[in-house]
Amino acid sequence: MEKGPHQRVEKVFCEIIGVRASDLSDEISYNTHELWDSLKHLELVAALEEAFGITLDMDEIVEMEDFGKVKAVVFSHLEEDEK
Amino acid sequence: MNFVDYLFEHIQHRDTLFLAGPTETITHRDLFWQVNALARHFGETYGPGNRILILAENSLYFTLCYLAAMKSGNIAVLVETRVAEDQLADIGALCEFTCCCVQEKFRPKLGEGWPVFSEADLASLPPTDEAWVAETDDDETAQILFTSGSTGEKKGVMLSHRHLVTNSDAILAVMRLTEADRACAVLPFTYCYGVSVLHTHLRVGGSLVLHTSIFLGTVIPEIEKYGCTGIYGVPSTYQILIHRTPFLTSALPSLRYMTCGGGYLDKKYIKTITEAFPDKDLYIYYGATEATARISILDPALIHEKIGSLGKGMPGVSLEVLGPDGRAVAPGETGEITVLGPTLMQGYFKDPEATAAKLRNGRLYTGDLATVDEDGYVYFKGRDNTVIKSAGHRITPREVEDLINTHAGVSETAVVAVPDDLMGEAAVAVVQPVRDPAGILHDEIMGLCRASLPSYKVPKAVVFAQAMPLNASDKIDLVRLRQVVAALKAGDEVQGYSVPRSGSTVEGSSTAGPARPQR
Repeated sequence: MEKGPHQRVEKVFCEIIGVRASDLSDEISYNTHELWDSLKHLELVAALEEAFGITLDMDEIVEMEDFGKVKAVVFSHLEEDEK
Repeated sequence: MNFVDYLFEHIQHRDTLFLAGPTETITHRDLFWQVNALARHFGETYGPGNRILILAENSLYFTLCYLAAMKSGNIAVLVETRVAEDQLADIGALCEFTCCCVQEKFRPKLGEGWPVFSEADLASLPPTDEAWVAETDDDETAQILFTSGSTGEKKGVMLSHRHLVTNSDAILAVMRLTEADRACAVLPFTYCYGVSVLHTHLRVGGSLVLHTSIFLGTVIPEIEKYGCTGIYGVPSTYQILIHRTPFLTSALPSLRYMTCGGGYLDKKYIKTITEAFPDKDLYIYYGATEATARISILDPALIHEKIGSLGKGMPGVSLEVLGPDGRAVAPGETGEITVLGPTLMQGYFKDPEATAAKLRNGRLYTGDLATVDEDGYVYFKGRDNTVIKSAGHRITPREVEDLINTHAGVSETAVVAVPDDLMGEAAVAVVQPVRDPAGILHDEIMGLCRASLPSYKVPKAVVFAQAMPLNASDKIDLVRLRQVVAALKAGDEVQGYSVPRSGSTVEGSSTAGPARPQR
């Protein structure tokens, strides 16, 4: 069965950043999570773009500095598509 | 002369900014006195001749600890912040650090009982107005930079005060930097090319903007806001800027030049950059930690005429490309780049065997393959397959292969480099499974890599092979594997290979097909 967008973002994020699903929270951030570096961030951007068929612009890439903001940015694209 | 005294020789009284932002600022004068205060602390507490670890991102803290360690007659040991815990433990056992300058966020990487000098310790240090002078011999070791060797273990490159002064002078002679120059420092100071930018700009009284943002794209507004005159990057720096940001359409009026080192920038990107910025200079550098950073340079005036070339030796340095018979190659023939000059390392720390393999008859053997044209310009042609360069970092295939081979479901692994639009090169693991692979094996391999390797060493993709192709000497045919991986990446199907996706089953990707027995 097709997974919902929430689960898909979570799966991509956990896989790329190396977070266990059970440890996931909106507060996990670039500044505090040691494994999340600028290279991982680029990988995350590419994986999200591929998974959702979206293109993220520079401001959005910079904005996604914690998991909560990652979701918000991705969902803002989905809502536009679904309108 | 102590290298740090050389750096401050003409600029210690200046009230101009050395660090100009975005988050930290300090003038040349204040930096001089703060370095003296910390050098006094190191000198009084430990005396000279000890090894002091610096594990920090580009920051004022890094700058002070690094300079004060050398100024106090101690040895600054630089290790990349992405270092894996077990490797850092090995380095610690080897170096027996007297003091560890480690930023708070990297503290968890350290073992028990390491003597830490923290950011808080630095903040509580009393100021001084008395210069601290430590007698140092020019040929004393000033720093040890840890870099990846051919088997993945870290090797410490020992450089003397004289090496650092000589290489800085050579860079300044070709770059003609002045006090008006302000570099956008995007590369980590923990490796030679990155930290050489700190050296040269300090020596001339110039300044730095320390880029530490989540995304490289913010260098564009930073260059504009702070009036940077130069940016120093590796190929992936420019590839990311080109592909993911409005770099090419930005005016960047203050920017006078760009430099690219730390890997081979493809000709198509050189053309793209020079066409977008016809009035700015693009310097192509070639370097090695073992030769104190920069070895050769291509004059920007020749960037089109000699496109793809690494240029010629820096002042005082000569490059010779030698064939298998040990003689210089004729124009057009391929050989190994060797380096002669005054900045070859003292050796690898506590590793005479590896030193003897790399330095022979006063020559550095780089392992890089190249040709030379009639005018003596050197053209990079590839490397022996001991190192992959991804986003400026060195990945040793064998280290990743050994790790993946520990998985019970894996029969054999070969890690190969493929060109990557953003990273320069990317590592792909070609894995021959014990039996027909399921997607779970892919997930387990990636999980293993993510848990054990620094992020840049984790393969970008795993490809399953039914059998490894062999060459004439019955070794894995890496040339063939690179072709296969490139074809799969381009969307072609290749018989006998499959690209798994994560999940409980192997999904047939639209390009490579599922992993099923192929006839």
